[in-house]
Amino acid sequence: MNKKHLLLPLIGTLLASAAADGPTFRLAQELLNEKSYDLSAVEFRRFAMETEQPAEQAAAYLYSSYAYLQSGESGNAGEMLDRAEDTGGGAPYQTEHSLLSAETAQSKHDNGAAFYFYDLLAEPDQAEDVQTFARRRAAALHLNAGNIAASRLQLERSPADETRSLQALEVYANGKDKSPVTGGLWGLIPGAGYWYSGEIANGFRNLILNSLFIFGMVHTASEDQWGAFAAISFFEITWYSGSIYGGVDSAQRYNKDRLNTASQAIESDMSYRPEPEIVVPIFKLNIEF
Amino acid sequence: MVRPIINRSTILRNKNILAISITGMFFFSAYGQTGSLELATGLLEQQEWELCRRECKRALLSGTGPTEQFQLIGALASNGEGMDPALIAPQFQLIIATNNTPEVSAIASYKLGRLHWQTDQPKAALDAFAFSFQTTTNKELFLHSACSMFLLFGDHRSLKKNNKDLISQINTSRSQWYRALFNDCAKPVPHATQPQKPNWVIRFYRSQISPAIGSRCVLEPSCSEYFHQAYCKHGAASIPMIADRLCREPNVSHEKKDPVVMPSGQIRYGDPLENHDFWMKKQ
Repeated sequence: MNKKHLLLPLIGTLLASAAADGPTFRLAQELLNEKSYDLSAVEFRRFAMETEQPAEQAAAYLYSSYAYLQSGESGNAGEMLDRAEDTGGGAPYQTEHSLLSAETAQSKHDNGAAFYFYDLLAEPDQAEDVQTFARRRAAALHLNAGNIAASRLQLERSPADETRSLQALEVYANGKDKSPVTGGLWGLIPGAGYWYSGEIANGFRNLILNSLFIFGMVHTASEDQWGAFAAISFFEITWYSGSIYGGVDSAQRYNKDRLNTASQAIESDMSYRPEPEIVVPIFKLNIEF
Repeated sequence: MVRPIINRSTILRNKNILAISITGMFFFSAYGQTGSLELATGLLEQQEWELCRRECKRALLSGTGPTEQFQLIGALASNGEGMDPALIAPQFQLIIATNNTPEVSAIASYKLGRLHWQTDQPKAALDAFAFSFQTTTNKELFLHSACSMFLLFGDHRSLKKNNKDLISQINTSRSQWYRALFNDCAKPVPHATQPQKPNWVIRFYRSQISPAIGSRCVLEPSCSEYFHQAYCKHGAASIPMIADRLCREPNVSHEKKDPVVMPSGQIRYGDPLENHDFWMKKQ
């Protein structure tokens, strides 16, 4: 895969202090590299409280916010962003702050706030890569919210070539979702609910199981073996209800997969992570395409 | 730097354990904070119980910062984590017995009172609340202690007999009580940390059938665990859900998406319940 590492335009004065060379910051970074996000976040917070330099404090809180975000604790990530702002030393990191704010809002399902921050990042005064990142993220978010027109608009305004993303969006727009209700109704015929959503093997498996148990029911009833009939009937009810549920669930999964495929194509495997080589506490995000 | 604890506490509304912790923050702020102490209080507020306890232990071992405050925060974190009250109560008792700082003793005493109340020791709870009520100089803790005693008297009317002076003192503070105070001070309920016991079908399968046929499921969670989770979340709907799972199992293992390496080294394929009930939650 073609990947290029792009550094976000930064960065204020390099602030090397005695605290910065100390073990706390390095430990926090090592924990981050090891993906021990919870522990790393705490160590960055400790560093922020040990140092007296506002810019270092802001950088450490941003690292902490990133670590919390990776561990899925968006509430704590948001709080660390507030603290970074409170230090008064966050001026060099406004782009990073907005990016993390957008990601935090998105993970909290606060689409309004996420769109606000992505709009900030998509301003013309931002670097081209940042704008591209923000536009694609916003486009994917609009798509997930069901607004295809807004998603298309975001991609059209992106400074990068978005031909592939727009194609993926058109494929999604021209495709059709499966109706879960219809899937459930087809499920009344054993296996047909799965077939409706294209899961042929699952449908046949369900049909065979239902057929066997219905045969068992008929056979035991004709032989007057009512105990066995009751036991087989219980299992047949299970398979039959499974057919109806499977019809609904497979339609839902089909729709979700379709949406995920389009979103992933739009985002084109974008990611971001802090620059791992930094030893002194400045915060630097790499965007990866 | 002292942070505006009151604003952040809004996210912790209705969390009994933290009501008094926040009261404690006012006290800590009056004494000034070291970095570790601020970190420990921050972790306590965020209910990161284990990390908070670890931070307190670290500070206590290194001998930096105010020992009694770290002991108290550590005990509050243990309480929040749902540790057995029989194990936490001695921690609070030790803080009360050895402490030279009256306000820390008052907070520990209040928490001890709530533990005693939770474990149905009303007399001991009343003594602890009364100590906190009479010792503290913090308004919030004063009101919490008073309201807790008022509710405790409601639960155990026999306690009223020999405590008429105390009751009249409590009544002097009643004009300052507010609605949320009653929620904070209601009788504490034990933490529900134990996972729900599987139903008899799963227990029967696991004890009688699974040992005979071996661990055959290649999905994670296993089918019996999937059924258990579905049963806990959706009740009777778990029956069609497990039938659907059994039909899909060969396909999921064939696709080999989302492999999970088990502690035994066996490779399974992820098929969590969330992938099949996300639309139910939406509805």
